[in-house]
Amino acid sequence: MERSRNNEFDKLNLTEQELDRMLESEAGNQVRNFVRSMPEEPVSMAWRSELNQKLSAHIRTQERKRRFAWIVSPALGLGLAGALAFVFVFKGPSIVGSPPVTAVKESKLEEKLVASIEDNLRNYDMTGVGLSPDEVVSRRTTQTTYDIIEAGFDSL
Amino acid sequence: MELCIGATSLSSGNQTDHAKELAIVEACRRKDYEAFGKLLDAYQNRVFGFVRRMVPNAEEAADITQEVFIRAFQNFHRFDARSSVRTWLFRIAYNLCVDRARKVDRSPTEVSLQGTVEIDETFDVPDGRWQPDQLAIDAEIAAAIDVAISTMSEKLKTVLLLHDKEDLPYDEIAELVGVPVGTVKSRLFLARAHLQQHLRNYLRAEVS
Repeated sequence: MERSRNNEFDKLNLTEQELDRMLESEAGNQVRNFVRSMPEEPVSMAWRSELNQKLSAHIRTQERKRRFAWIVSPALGLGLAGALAFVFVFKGPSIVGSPPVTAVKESKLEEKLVASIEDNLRNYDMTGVGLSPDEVVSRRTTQTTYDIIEAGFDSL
Repeated sequence: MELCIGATSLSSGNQTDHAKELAIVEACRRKDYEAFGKLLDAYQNRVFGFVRRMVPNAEEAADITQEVFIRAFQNFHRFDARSSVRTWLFRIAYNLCVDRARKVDRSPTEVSLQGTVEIDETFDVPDGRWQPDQLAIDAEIAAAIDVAISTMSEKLKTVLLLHDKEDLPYDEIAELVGVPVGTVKSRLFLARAHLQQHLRNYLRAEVS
């Protein structure tokens, strides 16, 4: 690009001073005056009217866009804030991860309760109503001792 | 605040006019439709004149000129006031003309440099402002100049119109077109030489 520009300038074989001198010469100024005196072609009223309509349409569109943005942007902001609030307030703990711990604890408690009830039932089955397992054990032990003492000396 | 601005006052270098222009520019930045109307009044004919000579089709030229002002109105907030509003408008117009030329893909007629670089010859064209017959001659010469300009390449035409018709300085034209100042001068020289050659041929034909 630069090369073509230089070539364009070099074609004339003139220095810039010579070029300036020729552009300011009488002949150069005469051509300039010719060009300057060319009549201007005015635009028509219809053209101006059409342009005014286009500009008005542009202004209306801009105004509509501005109003739309004015309404929509706070609504969007509120919606986003609401959604974030919902997530943090209602769904927040599940994100943190604490609920599984309580769930585990609850399940262990249940298991312990069930195990304890099952133990009790088993004990009742073994011992019958009215006696505690400890009583049964201590009674059995004392009974045996007694039996041995009772039967021991005579039978031997 | 009264802003009575016309084409001449806006384009002159007077300080008061400059202040008025700045006031109008500020109002236009705020999308003041009335202020923009004043700007339109001041420049619509000049911009149309430029575009009309850059684009052969009158209807297309009118459409492009409308597009110039619509874009100016849309983008006034981007106008940094480093150059004048006039230069800015002509820059938009020039860019649109270039875009249009690219779309049409019509290669511009290149001007032969052979035999046209001698620009020292002057013409004897008397001042015919108060003589009806001379006015007719002037109109004919103006038509001949228009024909000569229409046969120029876009590069030469742009520089000739912006400098000789619109009085833009070399540096602003260079910035607008995107070439060095020296190139602007050489193009102007070639454009004038082409015009002179064309007029010489026209006058010879008239005499014969």
